[in-house]
Amino acid sequence: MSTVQILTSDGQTVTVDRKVVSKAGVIDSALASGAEGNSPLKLDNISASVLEKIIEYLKHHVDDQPDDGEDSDDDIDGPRRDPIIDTWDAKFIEVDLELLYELILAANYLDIKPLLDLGCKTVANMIKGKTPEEIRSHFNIPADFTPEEEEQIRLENEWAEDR
Amino acid sequence: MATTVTSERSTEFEAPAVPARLGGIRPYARSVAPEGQTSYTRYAGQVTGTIAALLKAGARLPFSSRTTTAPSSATTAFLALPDDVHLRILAHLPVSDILNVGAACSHLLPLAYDPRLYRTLLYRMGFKLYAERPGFYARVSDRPLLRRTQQRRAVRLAALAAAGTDALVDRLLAPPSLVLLLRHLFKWPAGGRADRALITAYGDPDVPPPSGPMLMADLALAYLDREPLVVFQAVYRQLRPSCLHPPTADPGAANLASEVALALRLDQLRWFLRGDLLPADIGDAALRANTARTLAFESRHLRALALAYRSADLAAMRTVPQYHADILQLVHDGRAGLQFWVQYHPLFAPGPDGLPGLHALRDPALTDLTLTTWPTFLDALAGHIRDFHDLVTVGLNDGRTTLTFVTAEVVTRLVVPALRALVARESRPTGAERLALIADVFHRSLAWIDAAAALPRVALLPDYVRLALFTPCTDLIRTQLVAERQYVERQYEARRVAHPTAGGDFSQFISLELALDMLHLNKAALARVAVFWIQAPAAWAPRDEILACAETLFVLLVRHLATHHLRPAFTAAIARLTAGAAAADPAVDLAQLDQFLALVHVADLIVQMVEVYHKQEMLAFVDEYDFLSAVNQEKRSFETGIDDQAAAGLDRVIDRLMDQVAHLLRTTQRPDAFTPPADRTTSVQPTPTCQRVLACLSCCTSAVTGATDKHVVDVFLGEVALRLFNVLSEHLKRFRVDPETGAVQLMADLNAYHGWATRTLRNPDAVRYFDVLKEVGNLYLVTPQHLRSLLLDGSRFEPVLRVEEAYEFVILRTDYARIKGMVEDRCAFM
Repeated sequence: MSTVQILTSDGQTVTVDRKVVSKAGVIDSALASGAEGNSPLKLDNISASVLEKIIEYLKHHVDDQPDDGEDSDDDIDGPRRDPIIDTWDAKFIEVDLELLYELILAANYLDIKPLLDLGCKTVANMIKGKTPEEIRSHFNIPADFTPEEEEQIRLENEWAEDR
Repeated sequence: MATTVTSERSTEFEAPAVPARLGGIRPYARSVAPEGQTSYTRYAGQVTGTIAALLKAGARLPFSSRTTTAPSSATTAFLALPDDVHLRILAHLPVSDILNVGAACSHLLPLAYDPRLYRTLLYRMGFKLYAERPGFYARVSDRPLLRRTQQRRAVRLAALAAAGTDALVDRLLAPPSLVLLLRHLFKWPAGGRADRALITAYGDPDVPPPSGPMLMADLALAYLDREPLVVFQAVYRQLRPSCLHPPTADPGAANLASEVALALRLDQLRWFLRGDLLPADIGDAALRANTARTLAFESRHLRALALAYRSADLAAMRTVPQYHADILQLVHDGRAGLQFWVQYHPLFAPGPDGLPGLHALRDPALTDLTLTTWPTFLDALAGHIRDFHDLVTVGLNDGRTTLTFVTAEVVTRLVVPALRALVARESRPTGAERLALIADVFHRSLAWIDAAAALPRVALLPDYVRLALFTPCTDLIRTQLVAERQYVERQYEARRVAHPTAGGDFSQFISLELALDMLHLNKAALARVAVFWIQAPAAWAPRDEILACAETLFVLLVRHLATHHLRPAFTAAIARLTAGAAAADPAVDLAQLDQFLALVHVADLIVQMVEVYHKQEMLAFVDEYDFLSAVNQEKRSFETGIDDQAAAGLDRVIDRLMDQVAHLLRTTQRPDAFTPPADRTTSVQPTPTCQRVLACLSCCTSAVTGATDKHVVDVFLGEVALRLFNVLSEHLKRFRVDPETGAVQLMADLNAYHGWATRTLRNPDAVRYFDVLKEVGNLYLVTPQHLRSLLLDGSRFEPVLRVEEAYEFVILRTDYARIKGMVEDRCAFM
């Protein structure tokens, strides 16, 4: 099996199976366009530790069937959000916030849709049921609304409230 | 680091491409400035009042310009995520959480009101936009007429959408509601394929463009695409309270006026709750409650319907008001209502044999089915289907959905099981008759299905329905194919046993009639197989087995002809020819030669028949130039096999002929034929031996010339010429020739042979042998002085003899000892 060399942002060279790494859309198209040559593929914005984590994910999912993204017409109950996260995935994504963001960014950059969705779902689960204040403190978001503005927002959001 | 990533991947979040059908309407997309700075001002028109003011003021707010101010520390890393990632996260949240995120910070507020997010949420509820289903849209748009009407509609939509929003939202949510219409635009009621749904929704491309509800649906789509937030807010405001305070089934106590409105609302809630827009605890409870209520509602109306139709009388069905049926069509894709027809229509009532019977219809044609009465059955069934069509005139889409569903049910529950049961039950007649009847039953059933699928207001694709017949009948069709193969094989075996290959005339060894009979047998079997081959839909996996069967049939024919008819005949004939040669009399039995040529001729006719059969029938199955096809390979080896055998036989004939010629030459030529004593007068007539040889040859060649085709004759004569030349050369070398007296006699003989050759052979290459033979004669006539120059002129003997070989003839001169020195001395070539 052919392998691919990847040069990370912190200057390390990582060697991976081509089959594993071709799950990432960007790398796949870079390889397909013949840009690889003999020089390692440069990923300027992904560090070696994040890349390792991503390769761990890709290796576990290497035999997954690609999701064609179109929901089946025969599914008569229509599209329904799937809030359930696979056990392995759940364990895999149990990381600190900073690494979680980096994984999301890298998945977004490398075009690895399942990993991106996994990251987004994880963040969404953190948000669920929290008040704005709780969200702020959990994600270290500074409060920048004046009390008047906050009142305005509350009024504006009333369309979603009980009446 | 994060910011670098952002700038490289600022792709749109699920942003659909602009669908062509919407004409000038651009989907509302958030415009992103090149530096990654988001322009929020466009939202001002959409979000009213204070929020708009806040959004407009966004430029002043700390985190509005992310690329310049986003700190790289982990504390604010959440805000540093790109917009499309934020939107992806929000899309996994219930509405209340989305708004809470928006309230957390000025940077997140616009994202919580992003139209792309709400388009995704609507999609989650089952609103499917053309643009989000590219494959689906492509199927619509490749119909020219549909495309034109869509363009016309798009223009009108643009005008309507510009006219005002509030009134539109009201109309969208009024019955028939937006949800209902969109569902019927995109969903097959029983959850079928998108194609069928498309045809159900649009009808035939030849039908005038739909108006009323269809226009509303298109309008809704366009509006949805343009103003997703507005639509979403309207839907949410209407439906969320209903989840918390469900509509009751009692019209008197409910806040909904009628059963129809209740049905619509139950259905809308089903879709709404599926979107998971409420916090999990509330949403799940509401979904359960709504499902239970829907079931109760359905069964209440089904009961009412059942009471009305208890009589199972078609006339009664026509007269009973369809109120309940119509209401049932509104709920849960109308499945309960459709199912009702299947349960209560007499067509589907189970008979005593457990199959969905036709007994209730009390139609004599429909009971006591046999293979021969199957067409009558299909005709009667078609009549009942037509009656049913007359019966169903109301309901959604003019009864289109009901009729389509029922027709599909008739095929899968009635026709196919009846067909299967019939073929399994009826064991008579047998043999070819049975095979033909079964093929006919399938053929008629398929034609019937095609006709049913083509009925007005039935939206079934022929290939899908055919598949509904082929798939359950796979085992039957396989059995039929095996039976065809076995039948043909058995018949051929029987013909082999009955065929005599000994005694009598060679030409009777092969019977042309028998071969023709075998071919017709094959043709009939192939025609029966072709019924399946032509009709089988491409999606039916075992389709290739039909092809394999057809190929096997052809191979059987060719192999049987070759192995059991032609080859034994040739072998026997050749053996007979050889046997004759071993006998005491070496003379060629001309009758045998004649017979053999007749045999070759018959074999040739059979080859031609097979050729024509291959061209006319087999080419429907295989490509003429596919050299890998078993059929083509078998045919070729058949042809070469016959050619080889014919050649072997003729070879044996030539052997005999040459034996005879050699025998004549050996036994009748006088030893002093070319060295006559001086007292004998030399004549210019050929010797009697030569005349006898020529008579024998002419007799044989004239028999061949008339008897078979030119190609064979040419090959035959060419071979005769070569071998005769060799025999004559050998013969000549046994004699000495006196240049004074015998040379003239020899020339006379050689001239006679040459004359025969030019008359008979006609092929210049073959005649050349005898030209050379004449030149050899000259070697004896010339004076010794000229002999050398004659020999040196190599062109006289080319290409038959080399000079050295010609020289061997010179040795035969009686004066050779005397002239040897003159010839050899200065022979540079020796």
